[in-house]
Amino acid sequence: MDEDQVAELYDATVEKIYRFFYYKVLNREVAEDLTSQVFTTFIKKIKESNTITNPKAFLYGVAKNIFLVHLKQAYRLPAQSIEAEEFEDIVDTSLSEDEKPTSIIDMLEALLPQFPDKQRYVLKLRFVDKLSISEIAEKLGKDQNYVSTTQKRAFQTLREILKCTDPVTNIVEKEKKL
Amino acid sequence: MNELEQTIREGSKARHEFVASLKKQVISDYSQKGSTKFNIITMISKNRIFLGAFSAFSVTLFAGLLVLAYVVAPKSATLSQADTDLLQKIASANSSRLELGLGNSAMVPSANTSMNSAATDQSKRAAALVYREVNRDYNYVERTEEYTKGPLANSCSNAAYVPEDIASISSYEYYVDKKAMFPDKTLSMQRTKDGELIEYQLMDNQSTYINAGGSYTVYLKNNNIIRPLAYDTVSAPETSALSKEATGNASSSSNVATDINKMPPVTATPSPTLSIKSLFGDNAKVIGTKTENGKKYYIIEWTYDLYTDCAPASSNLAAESSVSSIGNTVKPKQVITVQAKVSDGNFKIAEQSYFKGTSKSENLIVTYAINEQTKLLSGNEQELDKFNPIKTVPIRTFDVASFNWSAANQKELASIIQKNNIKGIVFDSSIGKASGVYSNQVRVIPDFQKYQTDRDFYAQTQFGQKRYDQIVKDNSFTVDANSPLMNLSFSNVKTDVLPGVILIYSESVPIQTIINQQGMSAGTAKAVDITLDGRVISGTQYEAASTPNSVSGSGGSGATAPDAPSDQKNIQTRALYYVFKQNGFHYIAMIYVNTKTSYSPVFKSVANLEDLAKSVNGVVEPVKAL
Repeated sequence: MDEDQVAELYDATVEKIYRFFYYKVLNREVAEDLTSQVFTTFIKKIKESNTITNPKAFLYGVAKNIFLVHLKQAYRLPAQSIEAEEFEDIVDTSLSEDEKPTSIIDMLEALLPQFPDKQRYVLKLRFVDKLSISEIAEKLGKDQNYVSTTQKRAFQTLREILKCTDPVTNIVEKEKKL
Repeated sequence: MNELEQTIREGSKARHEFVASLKKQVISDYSQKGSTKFNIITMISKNRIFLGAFSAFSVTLFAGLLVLAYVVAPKSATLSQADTDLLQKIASANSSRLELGLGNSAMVPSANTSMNSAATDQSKRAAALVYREVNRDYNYVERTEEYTKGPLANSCSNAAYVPEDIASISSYEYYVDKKAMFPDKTLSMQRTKDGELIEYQLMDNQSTYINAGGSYTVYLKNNNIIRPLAYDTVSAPETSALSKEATGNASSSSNVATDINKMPPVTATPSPTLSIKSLFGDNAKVIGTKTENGKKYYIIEWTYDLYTDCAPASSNLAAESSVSSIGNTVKPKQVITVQAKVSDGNFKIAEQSYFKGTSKSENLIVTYAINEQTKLLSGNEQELDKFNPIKTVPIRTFDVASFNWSAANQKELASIIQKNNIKGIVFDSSIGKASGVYSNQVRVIPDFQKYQTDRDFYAQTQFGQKRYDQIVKDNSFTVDANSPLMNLSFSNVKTDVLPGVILIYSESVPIQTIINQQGMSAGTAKAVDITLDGRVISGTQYEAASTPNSVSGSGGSGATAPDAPSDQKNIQTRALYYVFKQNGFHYIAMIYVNTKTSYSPVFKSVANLEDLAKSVNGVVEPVKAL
C-alpha cells in the first residue's frame, strides 16, 4: 500500500468505525480511543507485513478484535467467536448515519445509572415509562416546573456522559465562561 | 427526532478535529517505515480515559460533597519541585483507591441503601464505560475504614459522606487477573461503633450474598449482571486470535489479537501534574509533617468550593434547588478543606478529614481513617477462604434476573382496573394512538426484595430493630386518595395537534383539586361540547395556568404549564384540558394544539382497558444471565 491508498482506506472507514464504536459504548471519547487503537494497530501491522492483500478486511479484523477485547474487559463476557466478515458487514451496513440506532431507550437505560437520583428518576419516567411532564409531577408530588428543570439538567448530564467530559475540568471551563 | 435521540446522536458524528488529527498521525506513522513512533493521539486518548476514570474517582472520592455541590479549584498553588514530587508519590501510592472499590468512601453505601447492592452494581455499570486496565502489583486488598464524626457532622453532611450508623467498614477484594479493573470477589462488612454487624456483603461478578445479622442470609443470584450496551448484533468477543478473514493473507505468525493483548493498557501513566490535579485539584499543598507513635506523616491539604450552603444531607433537595445550572449562575457558597495524613514510606493516605472552611477542629465534619494492605496471592492462600459465603445461618436464594418486572407491573395494573372497574377513554384515532397505560397506584415488590422488610432478616438487637423500622418506613407506600387512578399517554398522529395524556380520577375527587394538581387555569373554564363515541356530551375546557414554553423549550419562568413535547418545540402551542364526567369518573384530557389550528375534542371509549394496557405496554422479558 502506498500513502494514498492508506489515506483512501482511512477516509472510507474512519467514520463508520467510529460510529460503530460510539453506539456500542455510548461515549464519544472511548469511541475515539478505540478508533485510534484500530488505526494505529493497523498501521503497525501492515508495516510489519508485506503480504496483506486485503487491507480493508484486515482493518476490520483489527477493529473487531479491539472491540471484542474492549467488551471482554468492560463486561467480562465469555470468549466466543465472530467472523470478521460478519463484523465488517455490521460496521459497513448497519450504521449508516441516518439510520436510527438500535434502541434509544435501551441506550438510555444503559446510561441511567450514571445520572443523579432525581434526574435518573425523571428520565426513566419520561422516556422509559413514557409519562408526561404533568404525570411525572403528579407522581413525584412536585410541580411541573420542577420536572421540567430536572429534565433539562438531565439532558445536560447526558451530554457530559456521552462526551465523557471530565467533571472537574468541565466545570472549570464553564466557570471561565462566566 | 426527540431531544433524547438527538442528544445521543450528537456524538455519533466523529469530531472533525479527531478525524483530521488521527489521519495525520496514521499517515505519518505509515510513512516512517520500520519505526515505531510515539503515538501522541493514542497517548492523548489514553490519558483522557485515565482522566475519565480519575474523574469518576474525583467525583466519588469527595463523597456527599458532589451529590449536590460542584467542585472547582480556581486557585492554582505554586508548588516546589519537592512538593510536586511528594504529591505525585501520594497520588501514585493511592491509585488503588481509584479502582472503584470499597476503599472509595463515597462509594460506601449507606446502611439504608445498600440492601440490594444497587450502588455497587450501578457503579460497576457506569464504570464499565470507561474501562481501563490497571497496573497493580497485587491481586488482593484488605482495607479498613473508620469514620469519626466531627462537630459539624450533622449540620454539614451534604459536603462529605457522613455515615449515620456505620462506624467502620472492612473490605476485601480479590482480582483473578491483577490487571482487571474490577475485583472478581468483594467482601464488605459494615459495623456500628459498638462493633455490631450492620451488613455483610459478598459479591462476585454475578451475584451477592447479604447478611444483616438475622436468621438467614440472602443470596441474590444474577443481580450483578452487566448488560452490554445494545450488544445485539455481535454475538460475543473472541480474544484468542484473529480469524483467517481478519488476517487475510498475512503471515500466519502475525497474530494481531495476541499483539493487541500485548498492547499497552488502555490507560497511560498520567503526567505528574495530571495525577495531582486529578486527585487533589489545582490547589493541593504540603502543610508539613507530624510524628505520631514514632511514625512520620506528611500533612497535605486541598480545598473545594461548595455551591450550596452547608446543610444536613437530608436537605439535599432544597440545596439543589438553590444551585441553578452551572455555567450561568452562582458563586461558591462554602469552601471545604480536605486534610490528609500520609504515611511516610509508602505514601498511603492514612487519614482524611473534611472541614467546613479552614482546618480547625471545631470545623471538622468527618474523618476517615484508612488502613490498606495489599498482597499478591497465588490463589491457594487462606486469605481467600473469606470469600466463601458464611453458612452459619440458612441461605435463601433469589434469581434476580428471572423476575419479570413488566409482567408483574401489568398484573398489578390489571388488578387496579378490575378493583375500580375503570373504563378507559382515548383520543380519536385521527389525533393520537395510546402508547401507555399507567397507574401511580401500582407498586411491585419482587420476591427478591421482600427480605428487606422481613424482621427476621435483621439482628434481634436494638440496632436490628432500628434498621428494620427504618427500612419499613422507607418502604411504606401510601396512595393519595386524590391522585389519578389511571394515566393514559399517547403518541401523536398530526403535528399541529399533540395529544398529551388522559387522566382518570375517581368522581369523588373535587374538581378544584384536579385543577390545582394539573396546573389548569380555573379562570379559563369554558363549557364545550365533547364528542364521545359519536354522541355529544358536556364538558369543560381549561387552559394551562400559564403559557407553555412551546418555542424556547426553556423552563418557563416559573410557569406550571407543562412542557411542550421536546420534538415539537418549534411550533407555537397551547395546552388545553378537557374535563368531563363519565362512568363514575372524571376524565381529564390534556392536549397541545397549534395556536393556528382549530380543534374539536373527539374521544372513544375503550372496550377493555386491560387489553389496551397489555397491547401498548408490552411485556419485556427479564434480563438473562450472560
